[in-house]
Amino acid sequence: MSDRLQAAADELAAQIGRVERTGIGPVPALWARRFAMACGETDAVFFDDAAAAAAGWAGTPLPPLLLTATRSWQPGPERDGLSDDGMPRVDIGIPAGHDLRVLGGGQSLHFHADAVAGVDLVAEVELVNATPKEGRSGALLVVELQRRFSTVSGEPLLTCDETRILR
Amino acid sequence: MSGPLWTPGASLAPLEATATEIDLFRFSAATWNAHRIHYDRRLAEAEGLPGLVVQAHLQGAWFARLARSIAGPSARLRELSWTNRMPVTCGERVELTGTVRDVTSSHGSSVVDVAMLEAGPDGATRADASARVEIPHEEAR
Repeated sequence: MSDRLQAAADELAAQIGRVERTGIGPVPALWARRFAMACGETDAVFFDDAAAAAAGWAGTPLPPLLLTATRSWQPGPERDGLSDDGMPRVDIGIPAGHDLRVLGGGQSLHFHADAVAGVDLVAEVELVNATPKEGRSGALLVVELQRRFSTVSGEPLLTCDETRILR
Repeated sequence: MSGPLWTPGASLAPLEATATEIDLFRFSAATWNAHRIHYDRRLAEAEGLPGLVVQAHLQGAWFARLARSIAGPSARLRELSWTNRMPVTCGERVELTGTVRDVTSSHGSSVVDVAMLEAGPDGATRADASARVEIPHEEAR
């Protein structure tokens, strides 16, 4: 393993168990619909209030991947907070000042209740693990995060176990 | 109920997808994702990637669409997991397929467990996935 990958592994190992909590606020219906459009969705429940109501939704459904695909629930980072590759310089599960390639490795989502637009939401993300491994194309670091989404009143909506690959 | 019930071993109608530069831009914009491997081909190739990379989450959204396609609008996706095995690149046509692994019924609904694959034009697996979809009995087909 390279020195920079080992340094990244050591840095993240010291942060395991760290939790960040962010107030999302109410996701607007327009945002949900744009996300659905960007995913290629054609299901009327995402675009038509009457279709959503007929299918039992209490509002415009948030597309399944919206909450976990959104890179940040903050306004930033500012331009200087991005590395040359466009990734945030500071983010949970990414070593500070890194020069590593970051790729999404997949997610495992458990949907606990319907998530709809206009409901005040909260997100938590926890760094669960950072494990050095030997991949087919060399050494890599597997970073595991858990993202939890709920209403501000505490109703769980979605739990997501996410894997990132750092090379 | 309308139409046939799902049974283990049944195949889902495949979903074909080809992400263009416009698709990658819109998905990055919709997710506040500034990672250049999705819109700067020179940088992506300098990083050893075969081209502009289709976002892992966009592929996850395709799996979600395929899983939800087994039922009508009252169905709910209860679980979705996927693992990216190889990058999918801009312009590359992929086919997502699925098979029913299990069906369990309880009061008022059935839960259909499906296994899915995303393959490139070379037949190699780009990602694999699984999902559980809850279907109200009045909508089961």
